[in-house]
Amino acid sequence: MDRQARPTVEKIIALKRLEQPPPGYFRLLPERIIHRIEQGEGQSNFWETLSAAFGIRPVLAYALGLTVCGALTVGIWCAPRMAQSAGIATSGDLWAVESSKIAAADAPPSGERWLGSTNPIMKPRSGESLFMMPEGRAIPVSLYLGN
Amino acid sequence: MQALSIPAPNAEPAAQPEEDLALVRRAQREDTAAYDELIRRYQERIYATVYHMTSNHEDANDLAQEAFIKGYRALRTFKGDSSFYTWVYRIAVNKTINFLKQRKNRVQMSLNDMDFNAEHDPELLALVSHNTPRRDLSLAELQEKLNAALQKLSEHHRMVVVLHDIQGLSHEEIGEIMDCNVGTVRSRLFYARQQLQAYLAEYL
Repeated sequence: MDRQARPTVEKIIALKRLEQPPPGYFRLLPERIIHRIEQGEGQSNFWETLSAAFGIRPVLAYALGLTVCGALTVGIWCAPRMAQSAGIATSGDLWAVESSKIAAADAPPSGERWLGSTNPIMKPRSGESLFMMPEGRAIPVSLYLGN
Repeated sequence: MQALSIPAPNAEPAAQPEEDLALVRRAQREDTAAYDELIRRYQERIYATVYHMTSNHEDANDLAQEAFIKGYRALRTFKGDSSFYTWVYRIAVNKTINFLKQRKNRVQMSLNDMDFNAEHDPELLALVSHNTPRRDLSLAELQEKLNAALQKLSEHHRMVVVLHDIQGLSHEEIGEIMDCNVGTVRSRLFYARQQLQAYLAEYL
């Protein structure tokens, strides 16, 4: 920066120090603030306290955001694998599992030729809701081929 | 009339850490009288910082009050690692920067009057006439141009100028308040002064 101009810029900036609020302003300001505090203004719940902490340290907000995103990604990635390894059927498999049990119960004595179908007769309506429950129980069709 | 020189910045933060800490401990037990005393100690600095950042008295009034209210509500998180003075400054600075980011380009200046004696001060009149030989510039006009130039700076550059050149804080204090290192403070200050010199070239 130009050595001769620099003090002038600073001197002009220093003019700002002469700008004063209306007379008596600072006499009334503390009273106003304390009045607002006593009225309960600014009282915060848990989430507001948390966001206040983020206001002072924005890096905390970024860190929390990254952690939540990471946890979600890992959760979405691992959920199907964990379900498979734990033997938990996914929603699409429930029909097959249920109908297979019924078919096994209906199976004829051993030695007879038997073909079982695990295809359910009743199917849930599809396409209306992801959370729709089936309306009835599937009954497998068993075929006895006889003697 | 006695000459009025531009007052020196408040280099000494008037912080009395031990007294402040005692007041903070009382305020933490919801003693509003103690907090009232803390407000009286720092209201002028907090208000001035916000005012010089916004160039608007009404905004500065609102933000200064909100900063102190927020400070009171957050007092339980104050551990005393830094001075109360630095801590409450940080709240006000963050609040002001957030406000300015939301306000963005809607700058509406509402400037405070200059000290009454300033308009008759020979030193200031000399400054105005000396620096503007080509035109008749009033002090009020220069004040407006200066504020407009400050508003052209980014929030962080303006804040450094306000805290250092107007408020008289040290680089270290500014670094602590703005959560950045001293080198960043110095480079921001250098760049901001260059920008101001360019914006005010007509008057230099």
